[in-house]
Formats: sequence, C-alpha cells, structure tokens
Amino acid sequence: MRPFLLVLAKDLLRKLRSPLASIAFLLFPIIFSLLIGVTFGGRGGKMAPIQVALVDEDGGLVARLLRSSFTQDRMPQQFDLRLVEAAEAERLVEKNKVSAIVRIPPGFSDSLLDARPTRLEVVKNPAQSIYPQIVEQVVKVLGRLGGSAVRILEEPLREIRGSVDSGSLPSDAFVSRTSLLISHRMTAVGRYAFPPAVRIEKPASGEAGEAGEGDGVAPFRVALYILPGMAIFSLLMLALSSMADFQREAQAGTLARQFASPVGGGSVVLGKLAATWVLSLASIAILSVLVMIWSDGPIGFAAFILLSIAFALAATGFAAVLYSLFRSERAAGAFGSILVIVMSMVGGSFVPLEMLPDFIRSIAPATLIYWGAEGYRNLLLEGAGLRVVGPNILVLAAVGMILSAIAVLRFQRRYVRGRGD
Amino acid sequence: MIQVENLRKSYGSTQAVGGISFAVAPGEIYGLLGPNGAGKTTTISCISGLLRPDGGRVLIDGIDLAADPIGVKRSLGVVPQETAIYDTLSAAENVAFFASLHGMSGSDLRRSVAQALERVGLAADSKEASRKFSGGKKRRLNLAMGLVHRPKALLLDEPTVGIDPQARIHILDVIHDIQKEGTAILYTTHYLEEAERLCDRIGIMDHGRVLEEGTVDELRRLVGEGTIVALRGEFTAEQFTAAAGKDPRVRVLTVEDRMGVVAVDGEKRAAAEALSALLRAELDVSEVALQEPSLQSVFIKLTGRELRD
Repeated sequence: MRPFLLVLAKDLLRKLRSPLASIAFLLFPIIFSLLIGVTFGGRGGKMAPIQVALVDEDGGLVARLLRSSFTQDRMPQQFDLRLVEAAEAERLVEKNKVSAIVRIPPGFSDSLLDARPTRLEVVKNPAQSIYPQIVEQVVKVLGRLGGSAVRILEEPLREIRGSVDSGSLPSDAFVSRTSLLISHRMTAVGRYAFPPAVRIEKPASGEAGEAGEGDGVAPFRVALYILPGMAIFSLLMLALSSMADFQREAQAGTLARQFASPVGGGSVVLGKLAATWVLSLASIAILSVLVMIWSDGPIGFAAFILLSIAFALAATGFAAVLYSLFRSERAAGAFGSILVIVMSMVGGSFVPLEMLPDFIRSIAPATLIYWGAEGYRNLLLEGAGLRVVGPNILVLAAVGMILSAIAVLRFQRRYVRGRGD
Repeated sequence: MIQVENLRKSYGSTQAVGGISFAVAPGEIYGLLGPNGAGKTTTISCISGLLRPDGGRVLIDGIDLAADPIGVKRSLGVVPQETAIYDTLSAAENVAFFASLHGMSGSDLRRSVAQALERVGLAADSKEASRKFSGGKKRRLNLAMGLVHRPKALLLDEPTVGIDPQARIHILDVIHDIQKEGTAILYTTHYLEEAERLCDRIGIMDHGRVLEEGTVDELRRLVGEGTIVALRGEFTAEQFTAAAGKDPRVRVLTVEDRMGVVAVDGEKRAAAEALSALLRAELDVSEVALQEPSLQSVFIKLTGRELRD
C-alpha cells in the first residue's frame, strides 16, 4: 500500500507543480458554457425573449385566447409577441428581427369550436437554429392544449360564443353559472392539462423546476444545461493528458527507475492510474462549486458524488487503456483526442441528444460520454436522485474497472515484465 | 556480490546478450567496455530486473533474481544512462522519493537524502527545481538517486555521458568513494580512458558477448609488449598484409581496406624501422599513429574495429 501511495503523492505533487494543462482543461467547459449561455441566454445567462410575429387572420374567440396565452404567467419573459400583418411578418423574418411567424388562419376559432380539424401555421426563420424550434414546440403544445381545452370546455364555450354573437350583455346568472361550470371542469383536469404548456424555460426540467418556481428565471440556466456535456468532454481530455505521463516517464527513464526499486510493479502502475483518477475527481469537485452557484434547484449529493467517482474511474480507465495500446505518446494522444471528439458528438456532449438523428441516438449508449452527460443532466436539471442515475453509475464504474484492469495488465506486460510488446 | 552466469537476452531474432558471465566482488569496480549496441544496457536491465532474461542466472548478494526479485532490488542501486529525474521536483524531493521506495522514512530518510546530496555536491541546491540544473548537476543528481539507500551493489550505466570534464571528474571521485565503502560496482562505458582510470577489472563486450576480461594490465598483455602502429591510406587488406609480413617483428592486429594496425615488438626505435619497411613496400599511407598498448589497441585486436566506430 505504501509504494502505491508514494507514487500517487509524487504524481499529484508533479501535477500541482505543473498545473497549466489541468487548468486549461478545467477552464474550457466553464468558459464555453458561459459563452453559450451569454450567446443564447442574454444578460446574466438568462434566456432573452424570443421574438415572434403573430398574424391573426381569424380574430375569433379562440384566437384571442391563444394570443393572450403568450401574455400569461412567465410567457412574456420568454416571448416577445408582435401582432402584425402577414406582409410585415415576412419583412421581419427577412430582416432577421423575429425567430418565427405564427399564423392563425381565418376560421380557426369556428373550426375548433365546431370540432372540425384546423391548424396553426409556424414559419421558422431559416437564419436561426434553436429559437424557431422552441417556438414550433411551444405552438404545438398550445395547439394540443387548445384542442383539449375546447373539448373540455365545449359547453361553456358554446354558451359564451352565443352570448358574444348575440351582442347583448350577459346576465349575472349567466356569468355566475358559466364561471362555475368552467371552474369545475378546469379543477378536474387542471393538474393533467396545464404543466406542460409553461415549462419552456427549462426544456428538461421537472422536480427541480417546480422547486425553483416563483424565484424568477434562474441565472446561468443555459450555461448549466451546456456544462455537463462540455465538462465530460473536457474531463476525458484531461484524463488523456494526465495518462500521457506514462509515456513521458518511460521516455525519461523514471518509470524504469521505479520498477528497479523493491516495489511491486503493480503498485507503480496503480499509483499512476490513481493520480489521474484523483485529478479527474478534483476537477469535478471544482466544477461542482460552479454548479452549486449556477443551480437553483436541489441536487442529490449522494448520487452526484457516486456518479463523479464512477465517471472519474471510467475516464481514467479509458485513457489508461488507450495509452497502454500505443507506444508513442503522440499517436495515443492524437487517436485519443479524435476518439473523445467523436464520442462527444455521438454521446450528446456537443449537441443535445434530442437534436441528433435516430441512428446516432441508438449508438450513443456505446459511449462513456452518454452515460456521464445524461447522468449529470438528470442530476442537475431534473433534480433526479440515485434511483434514476443508478444505471449510469453502475455502467461507468463497471467500464472504468474493466478498462483499468486491462490497462494495468498491459502496462505491467510492457514495462514490468520486459516483454516489450 | 554481483554474479552473472550465462545471461542471455534476445529481441525477436536479434541477440542482444549472448550468454555472458562475470562476477563483481564487494569493493570492486567491474567495467563493461563496449561500443553502443554491444549489449551493455541490456545486461544492466536484466540484472536490475527491468528485462526478463531468456536464460542464465543473476545473483546479487547471494539472492537469485528470478526467485526473489524484490529481495535483489533491495540490495541494488541503479543509475540509468538517461538522467531519469523529475524536472518539476526539487533535488531533495527526487532523491527522497526513490529513497522512500526503498523503504526509508522519517529521520533516516532525511539524513540519507542530505548525505547523498552532500556526496554529489548538491547540498546547496537541494531545494532547487531540478529543471534549472545544468547537465552536469542533473548527472550528479541522477547518481545521488541511485546511491541514497546505500546499496550493496551499484549498477552504473554510462553515468558520465554528455557532461563536461569537471563534472565527470567529480562523478568518478564519488564512485571511487563508494567503492571504498565496499560497494560492488558494475560500470558500463564506452570511454576507454574512464575505464582504464576507474575499473579494477574490465570486460570487453561486443555483439552481446564478453570477448575478454581482466585487469587493465592483463588486457594490455593480450596485444603483447611493444608499440602499436595504426596506418590509414589507399591500400587493400591484402597489400597491407603482404607488406607487414616482410618483417618478422611486426604482428598484424587487424586489417581491412584503407586501415591496418600492427603491434611491433621492441622499443619505439624498432617500431620506427618496421614502419619504414612498410612504407618502403610502397603502400600509399596517409596517416600513421604510434601508441603504447592500450585498451584501444586491445579493443581493436578483439573486435577488429575502434571503440568509437
């Protein structure tokens, strides 16, 4: 045990004395996430309101309700709705002033109230990528909600419509009866019907979002969404950089010198692996401080710590196996970097999995990135606990241990037993 | 103390060490002298347990390396050919790390580190990061790291390569001191003068074999008494042999096209006469060098080439 700890302490001391690479890999996900946050989230990491042009060619009851839905609750913080004519809307798109046009076609309200099929049109601004998709998704949700609402409130709506069409003021008894009817129906379906329509600020939010509701928009929300994926990518690169020390020590002769000491070769190899593991863990701990600051929701600490330990193990095993396969530091570094970048693309580090094609999503679980990034996103954004991220922890820990074992055997074969494979 | 019996090691089809045997007694410096690629470093690597030999036996202080490698390594100090030090650690940290790998700790560790650094003249630089050291200081630190645990047997693999004469003298003095304490030292080098000055016995190694071994005097006698004459010029090996054969006092040590070395019995005067005879035989000689029998001439006689070829 003592030689293992000596090698570990020596390597950590060396890394502490030469921290530039580690700091660079640590800063990268922070800076990148903040940049994305600022770019897409506006000041302070908040989402800037999405500019939407609304062309209401219907003007009916449901159309008015739909328009008013953009002014309810926290929707104004997310959307800046401009009621314009069709030509003006097109001009705004051409000038890149709005992210999308929502068009309510003539007869929309009548069709909906008469239970006839109808549609809302969304014209996405081709010059933008994410915001138009958000508008499209929200309109889809509102459309579904509107359809459901019309079915649920069919009777009171018909009465209101009749009252509006007659042009006379409704009696107190009518208002009272209709309000009561709406209230009963809404109470019955409210808990099922409403939540999805207003949660666009946190696309993947759940329990954590509920807890944070009422506090205003959480700062650095966008950065927090980006951070796990980028941190996973960066940690794998950090592990690669750290594990390159095997080749550097082999070239310098210090590795042979340790093996010529009266200690088991396994202690030296394991000590060096442990140094990379501790470095990865320390980096996660530092990033966690940021997460605590950025996040406004509760985080399952036990799950977070276990996931971090497992991911650090997996990153170490991955880097170690790679360097045990290559004799040249340069070859291992180049191949490893390419592999990490590909895994990051496929595994959802750079681009959210939801935006990737189906066939890529189907192979994503074959990457360490997937298990790490999904685990952290579930923890940080969904407020998930050990039960949800348990599989991620098990997979990462198992892969980490298997890869580390393979690497130890290969390093021992190469350096300790002198077979020179 | 160090006993090597019929040691063999090959890399694929290339034989690096082909069944060599030698022994080094306590307080003795045994030099393995040979050119690059002779198999010296492979021999050191096998003895220090870094390479698994294909055959043969290594015993250190009576312990068989194959049976108890950790036990052997406890008695061994290794100073590799490269300056195997950690640039970001200080001199004291470098030495302390390897001392601790040998089981030292506490006050014993601190005392031994201080003594080792004092011995190689780095006491004043003990807290300095080793990356700031000159090549000579790095070599001295390299040596301190190998002797800090006071090994019974010390393996020195070309410890003075690439340093200035002053630093070399310092290192050789330190090695002499260690020898006086009864440490068995195996010393590989391709510097003839270093081997002549330092080693009690020398094994001349080439192509993975020890061709001859003995004291410097014993080895010199292999080429006989007298003077060595090396000639270079535009001649063939046959022309040279024919010319040299005309004088019975001249013995051809080695010959090839454009180069021949002869040993001439007797005084330098006789050597000069023999040389004249050769020249009279109308060899086109461009360079003549006279020398006393030395390890260089021994090496030439044994291997047919100069050590630095």
